[in-house]
Amino acid sequence: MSRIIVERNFEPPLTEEELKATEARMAPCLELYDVRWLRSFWSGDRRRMICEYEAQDVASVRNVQREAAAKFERVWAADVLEETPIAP
Amino acid sequence: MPLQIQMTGELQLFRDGLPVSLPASKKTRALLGYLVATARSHRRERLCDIFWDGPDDPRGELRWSLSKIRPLVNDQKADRLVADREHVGIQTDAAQVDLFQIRSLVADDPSSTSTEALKRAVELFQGEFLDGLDLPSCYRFQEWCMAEREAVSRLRISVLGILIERLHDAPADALPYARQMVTADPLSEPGHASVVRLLVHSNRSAEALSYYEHARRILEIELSTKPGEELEEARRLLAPARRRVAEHTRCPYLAKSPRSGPSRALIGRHAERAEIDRLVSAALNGNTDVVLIKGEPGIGKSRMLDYVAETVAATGGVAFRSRAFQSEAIRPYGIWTDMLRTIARADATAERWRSISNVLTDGMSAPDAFADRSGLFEYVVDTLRTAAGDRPVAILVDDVQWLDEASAALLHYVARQCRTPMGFLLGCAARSGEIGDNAPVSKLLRALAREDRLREIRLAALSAQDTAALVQTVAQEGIDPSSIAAQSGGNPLFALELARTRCPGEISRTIETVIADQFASLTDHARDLLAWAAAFGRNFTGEDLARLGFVDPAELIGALLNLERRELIHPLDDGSYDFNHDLVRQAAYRTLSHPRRRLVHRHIARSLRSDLERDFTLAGELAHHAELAGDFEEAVRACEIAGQRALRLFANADAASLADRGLHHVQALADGPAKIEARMALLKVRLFAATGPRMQRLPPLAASIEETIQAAQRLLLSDVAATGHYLLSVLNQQAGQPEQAQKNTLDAAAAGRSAGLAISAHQLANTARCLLELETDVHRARTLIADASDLAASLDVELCELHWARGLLQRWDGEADAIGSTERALLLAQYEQDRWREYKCLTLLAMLALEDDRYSDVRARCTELMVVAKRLGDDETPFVSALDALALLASSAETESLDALDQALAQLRAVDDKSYLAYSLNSAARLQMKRGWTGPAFQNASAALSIASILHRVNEVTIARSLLAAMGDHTALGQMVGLARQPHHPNEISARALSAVQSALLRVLPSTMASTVRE
Repeated sequence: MSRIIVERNFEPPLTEEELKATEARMAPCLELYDVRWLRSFWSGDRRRMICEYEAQDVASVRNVQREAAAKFERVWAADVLEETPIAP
Repeated sequence: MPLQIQMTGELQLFRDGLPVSLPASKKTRALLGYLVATARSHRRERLCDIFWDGPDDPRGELRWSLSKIRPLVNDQKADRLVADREHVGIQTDAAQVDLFQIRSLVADDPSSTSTEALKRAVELFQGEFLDGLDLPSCYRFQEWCMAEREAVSRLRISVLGILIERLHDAPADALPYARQMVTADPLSEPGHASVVRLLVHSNRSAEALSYYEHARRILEIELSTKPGEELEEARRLLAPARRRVAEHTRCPYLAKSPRSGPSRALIGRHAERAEIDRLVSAALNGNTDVVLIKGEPGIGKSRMLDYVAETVAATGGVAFRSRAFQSEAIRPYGIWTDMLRTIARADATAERWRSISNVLTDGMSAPDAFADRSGLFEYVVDTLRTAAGDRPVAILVDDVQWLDEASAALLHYVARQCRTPMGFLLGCAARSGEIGDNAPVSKLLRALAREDRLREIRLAALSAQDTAALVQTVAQEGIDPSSIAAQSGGNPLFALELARTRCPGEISRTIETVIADQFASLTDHARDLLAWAAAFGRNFTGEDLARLGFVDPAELIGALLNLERRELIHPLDDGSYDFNHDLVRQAAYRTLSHPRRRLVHRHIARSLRSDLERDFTLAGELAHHAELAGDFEEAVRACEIAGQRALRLFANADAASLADRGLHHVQALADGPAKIEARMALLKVRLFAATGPRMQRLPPLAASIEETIQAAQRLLLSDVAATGHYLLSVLNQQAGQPEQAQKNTLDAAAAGRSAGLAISAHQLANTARCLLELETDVHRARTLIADASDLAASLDVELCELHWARGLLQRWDGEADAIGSTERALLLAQYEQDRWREYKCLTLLAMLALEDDRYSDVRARCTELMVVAKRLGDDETPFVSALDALALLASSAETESLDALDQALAQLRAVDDKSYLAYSLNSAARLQMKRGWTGPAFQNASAALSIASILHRVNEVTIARSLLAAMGDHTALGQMVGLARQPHHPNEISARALSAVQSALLRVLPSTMASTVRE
């Protein structure tokens, strides 16, 4: 499984109601396409959002966005860089 | 000499070479232009729709206009105006019409016309088609006129382009044509480059550089672009040394010295002044008369209104002023909003003023709910009384010939109801010839005359002595006041403009040309600014201009001061600017070519749109500018908002007119949900506008509403369909058919319910389609499709999603119907403007064609598909390239096709689309194997197997293994034999995969063994 990132911009800013409606449309698609939502980052001004998914390929995540009519700018596969824990 | 009719530039008629005086009514002149240009017979009803679409007596108005046109075009030689009870037309056979002469010279193809004929055609072009004959309130005429203007402009630019090219070796001869070309199309970079090139080739480098700077500036302001390669290349022809000299010698202001400030002296008019003194005095004694000052443009009407204001002020009173603009018809209560806003600004502590200003702005924040229009009007009158307090008050309105219906109604109410303790006077000014063009204003004036309240003051020409005295107030050295007085015919504005331009010798000049001559001495920047400001059609602020791209504050202020000093514009009390006279505005606007006008209006519309949320009064103006920019989507939206606002303010006639405009423009929009929603919203405005107490005649809207309901139902727009049924119920209620109205109400409720069912059908089909695309649970997909089909059939709706799902299922089952179902789904997606579904259906059709070995069909689909894919973004294009490369692989040389395929597959890998990648690799392997290229075929099938396994795609895995088996892979062969021996349900594996298995077995096993395995 790959880590997939979706970038979104909203003008005017996205509201809570719109977000909930999109989530509701997306939920059944995620299961069908075998995509797992991990987390999202939503800017304070509500104009930008980054979402992180796990899926077999980028196209599956992109199809889910299209199926749910979710707004997005880019979808890409990512390598995760994290702090390596220091051995005791 | 035959009658000559000039249609390019300003409409003019010449008899025996002498100009014929045209009617003052603009509509009548527009009708004349329309009849000549169309040169055919029209039904009277149609002409009424185009020019007099209103509740009054359109046929009577048409008869009146025709009576003015008849003596202009008929003579002893010919009766050109042919009119009977039903039809009207002008026969132009025995007349010379410049436009027809041009078209006859240039024929269908300018490039095959002789140079001499082209030169003659250019000489005949006098400017834009029917210049100045815009009728913003008659949107049908306006749209026709704009389209013709654009066609004529294109023809002129095309002829000029060909001439410039043909005269390339004679730069001095070509230069005038190049200059005409950039005048006609100032945004034509090739045109500007031609001017620069031709100036250089004529050894006029300094001028060429100066011109280059001018062109660069135009492109920067109006297109926000830098000069392109062609213009830069022309500039490079200049020697650097010459360029530096030119930069230093360029003078921003030409020789003219600024003149003194505006003259406020009122010369002559003694009788009129005495009459005004008398009326003001009568008003102070409680006689609330209405003064109407009439006269031709420039005769001094506004100056007489000033005199009324001065006289009232001299008694300790106050005058509130406003003026109408030509685009007023789409700005309900325009003059009142402006007037009250100005008063509110001047007295920031007056809560009531702010409140009334808000009421007229959006009709929503009324302190008390108004039951009807008279409630609103009474509130305005009451507020005016409060503002007057214990002072005499005058309400003065200029240019009432352009008032909108709502403003005229309120003006009438104010005239009848406004009584103030210390005296009240209402003063108006109007162009005498144009009052008849405005039905509500004509009606208002007739009513006031019947009530014996109207006091008309007709301004005649100034005497020669008074005109000379007026000229003396601005006289400069070398000016002969008596000569100017004679030439101006006693028109004060004309006389002053002649004095200012200092060239009174040419007797053939008109007031318009004298004003236009003034612009020649302005800097390019000031001239541009003036033209853009003119396009606003009303007063404007520095901020308005800054938002249009005049961003340098110092330069902007400098230009405004320059224009103010030259008395082309003047500041108003509210900080905005207005043109010194509407003729100046018109002349400035005419300096813009047609393409440039569209661009300027587009910029203004964009700027207004950004302000619309905080000020809905702008919606009407936005509609006006969007129409002139040819942006019908924007115009429709603005008409809807402005129409709703007009309804809230009880301006029903204006609302009806806005709705009609919007409904006309909506036809130009692309099919889809947005069009249907807009159409229903406009029908709603139109119907409600007709249900007010004054509008008893119901328009025939039922058919349009029913048609829109059906379209809405097709697209599952349940709310829109329910609104439609509700509108039908209102319509039937008004028509006295309560039973039918009740049925419509029930239909509205049913529409809501059936919408719920239709959404369910869509969801069932959607799940089925996803399952089929992902090749999982085909059994469930079959059931869901059957359920969705039953539901859709019971509701009589067609669903894109359902046809698409059927197409996928039929492909799974190997049925040829898959193509028809997918094509139907594609049509619905296109109608709904659903780009992604359009892309997916087209993709499926291309795949079906590839699987049937119809390679030319694949390539044709790919061409179509690439356009749609690009709209979705770059990530959707690689599969299109792959499909195209696969079709190429089947029919062309190895190297070429393999390169294209490798490239496409690399792109698919880059966008990480494993499903389409597996499909493409399998397809490539199949085609390569057919051509005997087993090396790459084996490689691709192996890659497909690996990728399809990750995705658990049973069919692609099976196809990959079949291909490998066919190429001698023993493991794969064993698996295929095992698979073929097992019984399996059609839901487990697709017909395409099964077919691949059978082909492989037939290829590698002896035929008897293969058939045994199959059995």
